[in-house]
Amino acid sequence: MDGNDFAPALTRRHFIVTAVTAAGGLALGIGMAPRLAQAAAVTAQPWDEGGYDPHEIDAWIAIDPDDSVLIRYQRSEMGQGSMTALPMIISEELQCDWSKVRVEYASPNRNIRENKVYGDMFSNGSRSVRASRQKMQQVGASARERLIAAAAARWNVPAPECTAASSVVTHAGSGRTLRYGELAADAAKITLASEPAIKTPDKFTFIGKPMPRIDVPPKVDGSAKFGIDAQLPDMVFAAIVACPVAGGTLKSVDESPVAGAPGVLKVVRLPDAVAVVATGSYWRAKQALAKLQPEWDVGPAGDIDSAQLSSAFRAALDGPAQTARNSGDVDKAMQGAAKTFEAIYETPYLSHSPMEPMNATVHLQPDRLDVWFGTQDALEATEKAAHWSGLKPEQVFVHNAFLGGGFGRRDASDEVEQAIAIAKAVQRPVKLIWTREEDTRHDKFRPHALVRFKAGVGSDGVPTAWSMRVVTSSILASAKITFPGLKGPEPMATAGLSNNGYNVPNTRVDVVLKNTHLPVWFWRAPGANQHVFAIESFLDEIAAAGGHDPYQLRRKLLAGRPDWLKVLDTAAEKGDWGKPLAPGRGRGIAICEDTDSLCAQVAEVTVSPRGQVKVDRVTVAIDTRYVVNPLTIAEQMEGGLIYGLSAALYGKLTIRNGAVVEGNFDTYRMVRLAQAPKIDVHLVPGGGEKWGGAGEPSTPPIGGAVANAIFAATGKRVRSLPIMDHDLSSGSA
Amino acid sequence: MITLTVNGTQHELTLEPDTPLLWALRDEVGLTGTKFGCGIAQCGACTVHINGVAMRSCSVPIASLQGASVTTIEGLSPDAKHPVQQAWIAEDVPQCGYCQSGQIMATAAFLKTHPAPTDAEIDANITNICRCGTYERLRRAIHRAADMMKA
Amino acid sequence: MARIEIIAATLLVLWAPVAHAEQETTTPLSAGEYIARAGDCIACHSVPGGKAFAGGLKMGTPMGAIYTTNITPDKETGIGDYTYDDFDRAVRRGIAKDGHRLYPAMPYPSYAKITDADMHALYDFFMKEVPPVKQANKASEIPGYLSFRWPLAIWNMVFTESGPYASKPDRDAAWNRGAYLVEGLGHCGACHTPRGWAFQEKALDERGSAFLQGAALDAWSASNLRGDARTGLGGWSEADVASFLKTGHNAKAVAFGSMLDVVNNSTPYLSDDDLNAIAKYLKSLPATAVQAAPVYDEAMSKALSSGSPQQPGATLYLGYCVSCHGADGKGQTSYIPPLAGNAVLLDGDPQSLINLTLNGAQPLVVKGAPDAYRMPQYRAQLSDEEIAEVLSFVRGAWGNGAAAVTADQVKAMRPITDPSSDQVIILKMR
Ligand code: FES
Ligand code: FES
Repeated sequence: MDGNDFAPALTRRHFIVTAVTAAGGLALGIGMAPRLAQAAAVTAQPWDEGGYDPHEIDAWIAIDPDDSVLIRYQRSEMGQGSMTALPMIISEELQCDWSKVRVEYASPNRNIRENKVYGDMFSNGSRSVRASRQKMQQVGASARERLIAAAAARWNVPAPECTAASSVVTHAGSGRTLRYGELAADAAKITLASEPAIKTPDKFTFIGKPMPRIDVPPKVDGSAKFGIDAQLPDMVFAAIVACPVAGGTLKSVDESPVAGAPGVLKVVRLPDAVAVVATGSYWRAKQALAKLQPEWDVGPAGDIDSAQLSSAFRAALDGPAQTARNSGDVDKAMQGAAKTFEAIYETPYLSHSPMEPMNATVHLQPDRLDVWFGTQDALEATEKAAHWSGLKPEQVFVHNAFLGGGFGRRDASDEVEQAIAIAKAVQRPVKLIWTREEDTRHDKFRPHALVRFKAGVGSDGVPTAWSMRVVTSSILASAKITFPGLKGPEPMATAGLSNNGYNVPNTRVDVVLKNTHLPVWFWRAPGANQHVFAIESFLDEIAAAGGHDPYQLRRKLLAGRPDWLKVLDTAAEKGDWGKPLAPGRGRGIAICEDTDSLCAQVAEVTVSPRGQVKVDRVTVAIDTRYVVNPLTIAEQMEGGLIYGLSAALYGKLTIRNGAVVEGNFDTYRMVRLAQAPKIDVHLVPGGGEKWGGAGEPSTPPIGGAVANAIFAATGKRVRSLPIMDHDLSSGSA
Repeated sequence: MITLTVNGTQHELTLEPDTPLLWALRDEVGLTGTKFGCGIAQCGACTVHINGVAMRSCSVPIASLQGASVTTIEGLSPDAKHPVQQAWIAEDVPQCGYCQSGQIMATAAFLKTHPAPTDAEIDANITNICRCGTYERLRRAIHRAADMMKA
Repeated sequence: MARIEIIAATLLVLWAPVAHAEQETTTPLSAGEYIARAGDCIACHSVPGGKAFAGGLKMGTPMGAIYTTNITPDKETGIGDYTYDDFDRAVRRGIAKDGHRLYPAMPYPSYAKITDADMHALYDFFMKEVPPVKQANKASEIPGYLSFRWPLAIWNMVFTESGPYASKPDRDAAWNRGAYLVEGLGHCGACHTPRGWAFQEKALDERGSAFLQGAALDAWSASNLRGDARTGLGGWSEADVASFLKTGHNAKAVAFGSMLDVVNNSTPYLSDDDLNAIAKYLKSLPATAVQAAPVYDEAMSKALSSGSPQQPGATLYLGYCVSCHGADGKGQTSYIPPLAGNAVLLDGDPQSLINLTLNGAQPLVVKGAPDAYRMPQYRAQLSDEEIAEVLSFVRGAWGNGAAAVTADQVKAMRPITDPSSDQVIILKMR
């Protein structure tokens, strides 16, 4: 079959059937897993086909005659559960039967063609719910009112006499009912004179209930389609290796070693990378690529190593800084202090390492580009892909898949840029997959960062002044983006420090931005994931020196912040703060604000005489202000904490000769079941003006909580991560 | 040519004999439920059953599978109602879901030899990586699946 | 970057321009390149990322570190102005053109056995086929008071025999060819024969029982290549030996450590006749000791697959090793080596095993094609105690019956095999 003529006619069903037949003659259906009763559903292949549903009420909602409700979801499901939460919000207002809800991704292409009907489409910064909650309520309420209006028109009664519940509109006076499925076609034609008011949180009846995530069933039977699972007729496979040193370029590559290798179609040269394209299997491309010995121009960064970077960051500590927060007079207060402290905390570069390595499948035709991959921002990816392919955005169809982890990594689309370049060279649909090594080494990293603290305490050991000065890299500069209206330093650079809740009358937070040849990026709870370890550990140092209980000192400094205190107290109480522990064991506490949520954790650790750390138990208290789905919030607390724990215990990228040394999970170690603590999560939503996020806030505190627990167990203070690099043995082994 | 059975259907694989089973399954047989995470037997995302034993398919050359019987996540049960799958749904285990085919296949094989596992046995035997950190629920689901299988 | 981790990569990078890779199956090597392959000159006379044969590899000797020299035909910095006689004196007698004596890191005691015809071919290869590279040699780090080279003359008198290999009339042609390759060009004894008090190889041919009986080198334990039933090649057939040399793996073992140099650059390029000859010769070497061949014991396999093994280390094995090496310890055909009955596991010296577990395997590259499977690293994942426990387990399981490994043994090897450590060992003379 000519790969150039099928895609314009591509429909979802067509896609699956042809793809699977081409791949192996296997008869797979759409393969929807049996659903739990009571549960909404998502198709195993959530991406849109770029078409319209005949039963649309609007771009967001379509209701079939059988009452099933299709909800379009404009964000990305990467495990954070917003593919369940946003439709829950719509359903709250729509008053539809949750068991009849089906969800699919909204089309970024349609979004472009229809004047951004879906608005922005990104999922980052724990914003999926926060940034669209109001809009989702409005979408649901508006559809509900139009259904009611359609029923009222049929019955010729005033709309206010009708109510909607469980996908049925009822006329109060006559008791007549009409199902949504019977009304949808009429409702689609109705324009409301004004948008209905949305519910205030106290009126929620469905929001706040624990609902199983709708994407779970297809994720237990192998049917859920991730970007890496896209299969196209006539598709070929590409493996890639980029210059080991970021910023370097390809000098030359001798192709002769792969001549005659099975299935090899082409060696493709990119400015900074080499790809091999093969038919039949990705493995062939990968093995052939490994035979090549490209020559790189690594540039001036080619002899930089970790030690040099670390000293350069230290040297920058006294360089020109921007001030993020300045209250009182720190210098003066320091002079009057009974005692002063100083310490430097350091955290290394890290890669995101989602389980699904970067990949993209593209089909490029003269007037159309289709891209299948998992992205945290399908709209931006569409615009970028248009730029890279030379097509117009409306000619580009990004089919977002389930994301095999995001953590901030999946919103750069660099893999798509590569795949488009390769597709141009081979003129066939191509699936590009990065090896794990490539994924680790060519990430856009969490920055290396230092924080230097100075503090002065009164004779009671309570701090009266403290200053913190960060040296880190600018993510905005690296990502070449600007935050509109940003005043002062970029928020990531001081996250966790400038928004600390402690009432220390003289506080100053400065930042020195220093970028290196290594690109940096948003990494789950950007900035905070490093800085909170630092500030919470440093505060512990002050507490220990002054003979204060670390929890009580925090309470003292949080006086007047009831929301902070509630979270802190909950974690302490549920985490058995103060109860005796055996020798070699210890508890540590940490708290932070992140994405407008508050999170406190108490960690309990055991340190063996030989210095091995086991985190036995972590108690989490979380205030997200409001709760859509408590189940997913608990899950995000658990997962975010483990993500932070892998980083705290083991996470480190070593730079040698300008390149990242670690490659695979054998050298870049992750927490597994055996190292995973028992986790209890306590939700203490405090309400208020803002809604808080859930994807990030449990990542920052864990490093500090564990380091403080280690101090409690051993008396040893960990001032740099990862913990595994420290000798914690007690010598009595 | 290697002949083997995948989920009850016989397949003749034409890829090179050193090809890992993982890529034969995904690219030649067309079953993509088995995932690639590391390629060096470290993460377990690619776990399948080979003659009933859980193996990391990225590290099994098809050359050694002549006549073997392979079960992938797609073939674990005809209706996705294997007790492990049901327990996974009941505990809402998956987040991104990418590691979960492997976690489920590893667990299904493990429970055959450990019908009433202790936490220590789970720790020692289920060494698959989950970057989303679903371990808390995963552990609960393993116990739940064991209970369901006993009942 | 420490040499130890990238030595395999070295050769892949450097050798390719010399070989005609795309036609390797059709174009035979020149006679001289064949000899250079058999002698594996490149393994020592190049560095990672450097040019072929330009030298510069750091090597430890008892007196201090030395650097291998530029043997490209560059007139200024290489051997471009060497006559055949100069070249011959260097290779077969260890005397450089200017008269100074080479340190015996250069295996001239073995190379002395090279025939005149092969020497001429090798000379032609270096002069005509190797591209000249201008790269000055590095001075040795041997302290001045030890750097007098005259004692080497005495060393040479005592420890080297002179004269090309002489056929043994009581052996057939294949055996003699094998002997020539093993004792001479292949200089197998440089690693596999233990060294004596003056770092001389204890035996240079099959007449000495120490010859190829295995030796410790560079944090590896080079295997016993004699007929010993447990720790040697007693259980291997001639075909096993030949296929190992040709592909780097067979059903019994996969090459690792320093042997990667050999497989990545040398033996796969030899003719089948020569490989068979080597196999014949090696298989003729009697055992050094009477050993009972390992007898496979089913019990552990059953215990592991039933999931309730009691032995310490068994659960670690189930968690980290079983997926590749199997509950039966038999590995996977010829790609992933068996642990049951594997001579490396049965070796009294566990260095290779510990090294492999800490650092994983470097890529095996056969004629430019990288291996499909590799051993991961466990340095970051397992503690000294855990590594000792799991290695003790595999050394004992399936009837292996080898001695346990201690945590202290693992601890001692950590820094010296860690490329980022300041204690990392440098390669020794070979
Ligand atoms: S992909 Fe096979 S274990 Fe990771
Ligand atoms: S659920 Fe995402 S990696 Fe496990």
